[in-house]
Amino acid sequence: MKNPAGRTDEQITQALLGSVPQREAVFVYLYRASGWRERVVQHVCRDGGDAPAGEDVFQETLILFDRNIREGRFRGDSSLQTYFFGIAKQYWFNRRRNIRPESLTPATYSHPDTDNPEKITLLIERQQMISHILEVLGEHCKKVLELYKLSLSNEEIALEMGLSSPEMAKKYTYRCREKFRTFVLGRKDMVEHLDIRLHHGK
Amino acid sequence: MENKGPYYDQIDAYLSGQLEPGEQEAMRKAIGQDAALAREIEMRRLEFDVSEALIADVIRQQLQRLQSEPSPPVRPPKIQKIYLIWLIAAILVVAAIGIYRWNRPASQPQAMPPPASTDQPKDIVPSLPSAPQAVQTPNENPQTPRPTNEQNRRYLALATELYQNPDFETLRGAAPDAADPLETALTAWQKQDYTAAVSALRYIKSNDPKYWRAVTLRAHAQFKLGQFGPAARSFAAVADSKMMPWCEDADGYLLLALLADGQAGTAAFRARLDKVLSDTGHPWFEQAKTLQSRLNSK
Repeated sequence: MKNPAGRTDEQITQALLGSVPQREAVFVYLYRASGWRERVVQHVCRDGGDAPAGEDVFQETLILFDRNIREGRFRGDSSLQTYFFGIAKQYWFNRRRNIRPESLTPATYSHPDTDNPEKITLLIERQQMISHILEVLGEHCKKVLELYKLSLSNEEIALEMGLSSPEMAKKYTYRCREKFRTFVLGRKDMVEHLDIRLHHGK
Repeated sequence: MENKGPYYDQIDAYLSGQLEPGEQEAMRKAIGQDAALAREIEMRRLEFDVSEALIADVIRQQLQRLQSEPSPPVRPPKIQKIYLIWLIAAILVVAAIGIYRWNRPASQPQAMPPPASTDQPKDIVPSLPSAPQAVQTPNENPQTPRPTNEQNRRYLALATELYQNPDFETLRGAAPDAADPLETALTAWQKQDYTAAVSALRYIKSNDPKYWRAVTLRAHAQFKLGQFGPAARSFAAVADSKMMPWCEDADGYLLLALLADGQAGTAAFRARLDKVLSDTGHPWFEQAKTLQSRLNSK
């Protein structure tokens, strides 16, 4: 008899594209019941790493995997499990060889720059910039930006944030995005960084 | 965002690589010719990256919480033992309820009535009855024990046999809080105090983000208490909510609750069963097939 807790690829995808509780539930499932984590840890241990490194690779793979699914990068050429291991193996391969700086986005991750110090410097600068922005954004705005990026409706954002109506959620989202823009545009170093990126065509 | 031109609405799609190749190329050209658009793209890209960093942090925090929690028992050998214990416990509960029902005077207002006869179908669509109705013929003496239907007893046994405990960790979610009613109910559930579990969830509001988890847990607790009618109503609400992943499991448990409540002969039960059987990817597809074949063999 099939385990009722088992999830098909479609169900996993739908949950990642769904509401916050659906996402939380599928992360619990992927961590606890899918068997994917054990396989990643096993691979890392066999390939010169240890269990904590394996756990770390699983975590970072899950982040990349989630973003790729949400941004429609997975084309369905394989099962989700195969796709997940593909990312995990590449991540571990690159990390062992110290190919790239920490925590790149999926796009840059797919094509790591190993021979362009200027781009690597820009990436490091950008990470520092993001950390700085996160420090100044309030907790409320951080949550709003996170939910907005997850493509939740105003109604769902209102529900998650405990706001009285979808209109309030819309207002909050607008305010937080404006706060973000105003902060960045008020910082000369950040504007310069954006302009440099423009000239690099990225 | 202020709409300044034909490309401004497409920035998000462009950054996500979701434009058609022709549109993508047109956007690249427009960026080369329009400095303000190019700046806007970079600004938006930065907002994307900040938001993704936030999402990544949330995932990391959730995984760290999961790592720090004790893992549930390893599946194959233990799980069977657990199910066996649950099955024995469930049979004892059902037997106790049966004895109680048998000895209870029919006029007692709060007591659970026997499952409805298949000759008198109860339709739960579109709305479930507020309480199961006692079957009583005009000549029956209210002081004498009511006869129970052999077939319904078999259905009840089948429902109990097919019932499996839900995945507690999925219900629990990412950020358990000891003061949370859902957390209280889960703790009560683990102690097999199903009355306390139902009670803890009594005041949870429909706008609470954990509402559907709470209704799911309440439905299971009601089932364990032998309140199959209320359990069916709760499972039906979750199943009809279309809230994944709760709704699909609720489809299956609803079948068991209806079966236990003596509604296996109703059109509503058949419709619910057919719905699961028509979807080969449904997590309860195999159980539904088993259920159908067991019902047909009786």
